[in-house]
Amino acid sequence: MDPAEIEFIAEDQNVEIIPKFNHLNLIHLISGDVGPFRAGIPAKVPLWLAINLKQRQKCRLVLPTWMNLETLTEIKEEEKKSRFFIKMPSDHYMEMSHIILDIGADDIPNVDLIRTLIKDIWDLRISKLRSSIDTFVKSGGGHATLNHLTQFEINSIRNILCDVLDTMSSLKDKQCDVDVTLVTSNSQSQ
Amino acid sequence: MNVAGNSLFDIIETEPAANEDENCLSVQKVLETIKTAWKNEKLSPEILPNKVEYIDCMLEQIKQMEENIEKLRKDDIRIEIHRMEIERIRFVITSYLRVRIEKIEKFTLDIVQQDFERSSDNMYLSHDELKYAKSYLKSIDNHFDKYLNMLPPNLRTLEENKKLIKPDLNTYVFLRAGKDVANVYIRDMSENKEDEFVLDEGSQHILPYESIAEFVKNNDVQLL
Repeated sequence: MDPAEIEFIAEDQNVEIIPKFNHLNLIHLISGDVGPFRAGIPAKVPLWLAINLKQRQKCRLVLPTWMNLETLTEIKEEEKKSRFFIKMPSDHYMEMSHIILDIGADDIPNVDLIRTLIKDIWDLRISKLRSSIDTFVKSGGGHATLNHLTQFEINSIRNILCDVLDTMSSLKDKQCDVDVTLVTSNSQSQ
Repeated sequence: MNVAGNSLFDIIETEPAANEDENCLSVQKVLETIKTAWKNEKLSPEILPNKVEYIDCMLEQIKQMEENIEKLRKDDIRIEIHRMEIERIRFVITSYLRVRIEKIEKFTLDIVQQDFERSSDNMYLSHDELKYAKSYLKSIDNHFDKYLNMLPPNLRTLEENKKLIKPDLNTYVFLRAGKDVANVYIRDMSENKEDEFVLDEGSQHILPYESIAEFVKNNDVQLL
């Protein structure tokens, strides 16, 4: 999948905004109702709507509860300690933080620190992913469990990993064919 | 005016109830189904059973929504919000149909042959897709007929199976199990045997598509 499409999927996640306008009736979207909006009172909306309202200066963004320095530092430490991938607070942490930190920068204190922390977590996870792929491929492939890996992370290794595994399995297939022909030709010559 | 606008949108809200009797589904569920189908279709090597009745239902909803938007005051904040949502849904639907067309053009003969063996209720292609696939097949055949005749006589015949392109079902895919899935068999090529696995609910895996193809089709697993 295209990274832009993964971002598109992430935009369906709900976030909190503080509206700067009033609209007291529910808005019946096809994907569910949103509202009512009262200026200054937080409301939950899908991220795509939050982006649009923010760009039109109609709201302020509220950071998701996990997107703060303490939580992210904890996650980073835990990720460092653990041998496995730890469960991220959001399945779309990378895309969401990218979008939110980008368009909402003026609402967010320490925006650069948060960005660095998320990048650190990403780097930790990707290097963990690379080394586990290495072990997986060297062990001959077949099947692997990848719990808690997020969609964006999967997407970043999809092409290369699937290619490698497909090539490996087709080589094995050919090898089997060769073995079989060797056996039959041997038995014929005997 | 505003009040009138609201009651119009209330009509939309009650509209899914009528569909609920038919399909036992709310419009949100329909949208979820379409999004899931889109992701699966993009990530699976072969064509999956069509979801045309969901698409039709959603297009109908969009049409009604657009009619209602027309009736709103021009400065209503809802207009842009509804338009944006509709654009997003349209994108998913278009992308979904386009991926299917790509597969149909690539594996035409294989897909048509397989659907030919299915009963008319279980066909993977929708009515329109089948029509398209057949006309596409015909134009390929015409093309071959026309140009093969320009070759020396001994090269003029082309066997049917040489034109047959099949999707590689052995290719690896990522997936998440929506519920506990037992009896997943993975072929071990080197030793020529099959290993049995159980996928726990919510767990994520990478394995050959062939092993879980039927679970993708009945929605037990979701491709990632």
